[in-house]
Amino acid sequence: MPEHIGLLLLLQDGGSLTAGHFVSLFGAFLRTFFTEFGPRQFFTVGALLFCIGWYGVLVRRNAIAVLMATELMLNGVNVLFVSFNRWWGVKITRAAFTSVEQVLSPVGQIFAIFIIIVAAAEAAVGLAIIIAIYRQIRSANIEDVSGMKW
Amino acid sequence: MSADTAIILYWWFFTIVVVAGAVGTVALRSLYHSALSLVVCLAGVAGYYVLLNAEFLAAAQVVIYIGAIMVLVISAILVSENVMGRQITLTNRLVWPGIIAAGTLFCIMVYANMRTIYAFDPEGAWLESNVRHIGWSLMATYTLPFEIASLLLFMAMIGAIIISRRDKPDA
Amino acid sequence: MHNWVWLIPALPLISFIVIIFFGYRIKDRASHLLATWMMMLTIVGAVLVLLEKFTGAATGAFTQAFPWVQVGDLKIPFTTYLDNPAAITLLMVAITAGFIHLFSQGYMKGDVRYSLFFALISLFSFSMFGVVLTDHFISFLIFWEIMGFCSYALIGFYIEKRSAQLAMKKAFIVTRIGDVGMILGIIMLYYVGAPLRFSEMAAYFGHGGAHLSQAAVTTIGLLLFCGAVGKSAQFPLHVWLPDAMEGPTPVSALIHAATMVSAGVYLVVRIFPIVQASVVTMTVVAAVGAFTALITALVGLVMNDIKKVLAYSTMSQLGYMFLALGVAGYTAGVFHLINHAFFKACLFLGSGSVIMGCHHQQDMRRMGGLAKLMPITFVTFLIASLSLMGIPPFSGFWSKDEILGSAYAWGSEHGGAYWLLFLAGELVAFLTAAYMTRLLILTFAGKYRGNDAPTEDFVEDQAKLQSEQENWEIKKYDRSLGGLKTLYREDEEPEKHEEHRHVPRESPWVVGASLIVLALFGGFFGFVGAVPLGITWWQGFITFGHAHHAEVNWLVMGISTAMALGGVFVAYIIWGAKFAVFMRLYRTRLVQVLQAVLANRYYMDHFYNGIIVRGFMVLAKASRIFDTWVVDLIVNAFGAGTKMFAYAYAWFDLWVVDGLVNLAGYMWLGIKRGIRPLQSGYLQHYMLVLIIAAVLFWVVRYFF
Repeated sequence: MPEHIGLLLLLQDGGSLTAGHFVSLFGAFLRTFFTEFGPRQFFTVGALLFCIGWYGVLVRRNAIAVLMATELMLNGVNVLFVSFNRWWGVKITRAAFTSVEQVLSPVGQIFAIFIIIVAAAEAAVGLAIIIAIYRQIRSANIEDVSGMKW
Repeated sequence: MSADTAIILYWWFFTIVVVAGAVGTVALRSLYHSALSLVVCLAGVAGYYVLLNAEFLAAAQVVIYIGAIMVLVISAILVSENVMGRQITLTNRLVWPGIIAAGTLFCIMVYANMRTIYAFDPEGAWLESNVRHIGWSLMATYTLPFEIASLLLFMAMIGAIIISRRDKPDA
Repeated sequence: MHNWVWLIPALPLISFIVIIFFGYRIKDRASHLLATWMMMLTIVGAVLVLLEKFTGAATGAFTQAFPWVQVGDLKIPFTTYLDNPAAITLLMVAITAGFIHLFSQGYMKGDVRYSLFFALISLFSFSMFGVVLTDHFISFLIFWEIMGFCSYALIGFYIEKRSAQLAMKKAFIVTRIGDVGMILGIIMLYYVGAPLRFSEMAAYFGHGGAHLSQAAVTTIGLLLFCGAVGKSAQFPLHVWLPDAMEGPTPVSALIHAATMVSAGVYLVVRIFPIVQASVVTMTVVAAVGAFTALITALVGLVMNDIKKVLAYSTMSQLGYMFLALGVAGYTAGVFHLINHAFFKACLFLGSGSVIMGCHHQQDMRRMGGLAKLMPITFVTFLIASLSLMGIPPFSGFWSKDEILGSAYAWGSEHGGAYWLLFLAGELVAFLTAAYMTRLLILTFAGKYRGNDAPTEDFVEDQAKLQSEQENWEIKKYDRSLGGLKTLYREDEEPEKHEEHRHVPRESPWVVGASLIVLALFGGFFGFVGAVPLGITWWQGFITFGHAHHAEVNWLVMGISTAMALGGVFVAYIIWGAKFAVFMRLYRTRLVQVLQAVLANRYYMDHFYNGIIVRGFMVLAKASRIFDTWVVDLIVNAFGAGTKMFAYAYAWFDLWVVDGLVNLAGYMWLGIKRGIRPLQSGYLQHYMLVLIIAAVLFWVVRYFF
């Protein structure tokens, strides 16, 4: 994990894993979770979106539903990008004509934009493939598409 | 932290919307309803972006996701007609393995979240919303990725047309 | 016009491309109009070029480069190098080629491959202009070989004739022998680091080739001269030119009299710095020229075919030019080159007109008395003949006088055996006058013999040719398809002449016009260098090194004029007046043997066929026997051995190698049965494996 994102919390008793360690950590987490407005909260929601999306991908039988679950996963990642960009801006120097200014890079938002673009392309191609498959086998069930197994 | 109470309330509101929409997306029986639920979820994410001072992204979320992608998904659902009634079994046999695996992953991520100290510099915080920066970055710093993205969309369009086209009637 | 000089080769190339690709679509008329008018445009261009030279608008040599190959240090451009000899030769080629195109319209009328003929002579004109203009030796070689190809194709234009086939093969092979020498010379030139561009040779080889050893300069000069010997039909490679007369007469005029054979002389003119740098090369050039001139002039005395007489005359005159160049008569050599091209083209066209008039009869024994029947042909032919004989004041006289003057000066400078060159020159002047007078008497004087009963020797010759042709046709086509019958179209088939007496008639106007123009040039162009009359324009225009001292050697002039007139006189009393004493002398054994030797061309062809060709045949048969009994035996033995080994190996392969391979295969089959269920083909199973892997990764990362 890179240095500037965060430091590992030092374990209380010399690095060993105990139940007390979990309990104190969870207590501290709950204490601040409902009163703060920070990256921790957004991380949690993003992770939840990602895991729900993954669950959807795993269990749904309809291919279009799987595609929608994929969109959920992408949105979870997007939330993380934007929220980290909200609190960790990278200083960049921008020169325009005669002025030079120090600004915070919106790189996270840019990344989110590109993810949205890719999601759009993916949705278009994915739906086209699904429709083509549907036209072939009269089914959008993803379990019916296992012809390339061996 | 002495954060503004209103912001925290907004955050709770959007969180409920997002989580409810996401759960509905994967859990609702009707595919059409689950798509509408996904729309709700995406709208909540757009609200998150507003809270995070990313208005441009919020607008893009509404316009692209809800306005384009979801319309496409819903129309695809309507095209493949058997989803409405005929499908009895919604999920496969992986429900419990899926719940366990996804839950474990979530727990691990929450654990990582808990034990991480988010040591951020107040100087580097992105406090104001500035769409101009995004435009500048897209057009100056990230011109090449931007152009490649346009190419990607173009190719996706052609590919979608070619893949979903019917076979030639005369062939 | 200097900057646009590349247009001059380009114009015939255009007409070649158009005619060769669309010749069967467009009408014959369109193809000859295109080819002829392109050549007329080139005449205009050549005149403009020469005017710019003459008026001083573009003095000195002019080069212009189009890069073609660049490999490291080696740069091969297509470059034009337009010095004074190139400019004047350009004009010569343009005029002769242009009017021969015009002439061909009349001569080739009714031929089945009419447009192909025009395509080929257009291609030939293109390559000849290229040879004249080009600067670099490689591009020179390219044009030179295109020219050789055109000559080959046009000699065999009447491909149905067996003799034409043999002639084209012979011409191609014999000239290639010379070209091999020339290519070796070019390679050596490159190898020793000498410039390959003509424009740089004078500076490099000046002062006796100080950069190189004398042996190297001599070797290079002699090797390059080989190419000239082959192309210009000099001894010992002269045997192809008489046979080349199998081609249509305009081809003989253009390629085998005026331009292509002169290209050999032109090559020596271009590389004159190399030639001049070595005394040995100079002597060889002069000796080869003089010897060829002498022996071929002698053969010209006994030939009966009008075109063959002119062919031997051409070789003789080309030998004259080499003699001139070999005695440092650069100015005289180029002068004779130009004059000879004009009047020899006129002579060939005149003979073509005669042949047309006599219904494609080439034998002089069947002619006679044509002076009254074909007046235009006769007058132009007479002017060109006088010019060739060197009778003053026609142009041949002025250039021949220059050559003999140079030979005289060379002889008096070096003395001894070098006087032989002068002597040979004078002798050739005498012989030239003699055989041309004979030709004129046999063709134009007396009465027409075409309707008489043929003489015995003529019947013999014809029967020999006829049987050769028929034997070949039967062998080739088995009587199913007549060869010669396809030569002319049905509707153009001349009516049967055997039924009634026919009278030769004058040729159409295109023929007459071409003859008149070429006769004017051939007869009177020489006045540009008439030193005794005080006109020294030519001597100032074409110089090599120091300016040529234009002084008149009255002694030489007197001797050569006397020789020419003497030749005319002797020929008249032998063939014209036919005094009884000469007729008796003619029947003596010695003269008969001499005539047989000359008529068989010193048995050179027999020698080549008997010794060289048959030698190669024997060698080839011996090689075949060796190949069958030795090489094949060894190869078969190897084959049998390999087969035995293969049987042994097959057994090993079947039981040992295949066994191991199958063992490995069964092993993997077992493993496969174990792990196959992992690949269910269901997307979601793979996703489950993926998420389990991610969880395991993070668990290991945080808790272990």
